[in-house]
Amino acid sequence: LTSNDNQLIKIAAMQQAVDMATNTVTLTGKVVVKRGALDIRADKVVITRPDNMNVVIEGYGSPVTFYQWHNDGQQVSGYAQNVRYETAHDRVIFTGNAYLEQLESNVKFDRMIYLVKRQQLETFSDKGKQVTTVIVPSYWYGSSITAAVLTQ
Amino acid sequence: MSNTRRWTTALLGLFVLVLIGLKLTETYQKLALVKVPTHTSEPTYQSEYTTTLVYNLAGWLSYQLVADHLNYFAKPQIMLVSKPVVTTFDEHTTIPTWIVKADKAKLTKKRILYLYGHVQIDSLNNASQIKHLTTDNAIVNLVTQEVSSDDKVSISGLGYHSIGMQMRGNLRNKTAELLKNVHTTYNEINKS
Repeated sequence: LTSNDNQLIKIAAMQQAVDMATNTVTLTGKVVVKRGALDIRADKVVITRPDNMNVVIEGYGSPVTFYQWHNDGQQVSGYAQNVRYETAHDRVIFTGNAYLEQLESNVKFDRMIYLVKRQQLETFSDKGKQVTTVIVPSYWYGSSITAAVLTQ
Repeated sequence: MSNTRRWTTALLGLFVLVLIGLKLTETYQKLALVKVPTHTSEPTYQSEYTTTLVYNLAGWLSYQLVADHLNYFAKPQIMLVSKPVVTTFDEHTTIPTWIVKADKAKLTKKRILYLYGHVQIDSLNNASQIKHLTTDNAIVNLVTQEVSSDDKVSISGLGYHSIGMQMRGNLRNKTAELLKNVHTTYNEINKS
């Protein structure tokens, strides 16, 4: 299921603290977040609903791990110190030693944004330059990553 | 002092003592009559469909207790309540903040409210996305507004539902913590 839209988000954890004044839910202890074909595991997750509609899930861990299955059966997996999932755009933002792989190909950057629906990856380096790597599924099949690297 | 005089004085003294003794016994008996019934199975008073308003020391309305039936026991100073509905108020604005319901409750002298059966705690704060806490049994300290339960607790609200074991929280701070086995679900709210 490439798109996670309209799927229930299910979270399991050992503890949960709810702050009804700031509408913040914090889950700790072996936190597992699942939504459709998305799977995020973290030590701690902070959940908010900024616009009363969409959900923002901020995962912290050492590291936070991420898995996403696609319709074509391919699995994209990765990790980072911080993983932020926004239902509004069905996107995942990896920050801090971010790593993502599919089949034998992988990328490693300081920060990456993965657009689940479009299966598109934007990567950013901390060295002051913004590097955008556009990876489309066909490039990923059985070959090393050959991607259009746009340096700005 | 001649013998007869001495005997007369002694007799008079004895007579006065007897009078005092009688008087004391009589008073003691009277007192016994007005003693408050200490037999705890008997309520000191009962009432039906009552509303009790309780104010804090500064004079602000602290909470209101509405009950279908209420038994008050003077000896342990506890209140047994059927179908209690407690409303708590913000101590500065007297805006109602929470409604606490249950099948039965016991309210102690120290304002500890023990809730039994179908406990439901509803937030009256419109800005809060998380609105309801439900469990089987809970304890609410009506002074500090701390709330706790050792049962399974469900917390729900705007597209949100959570279940866990054992809960500790504070109504005044608007916080609640589930201590074990938490399962939470979020669903997207319709964007249209």
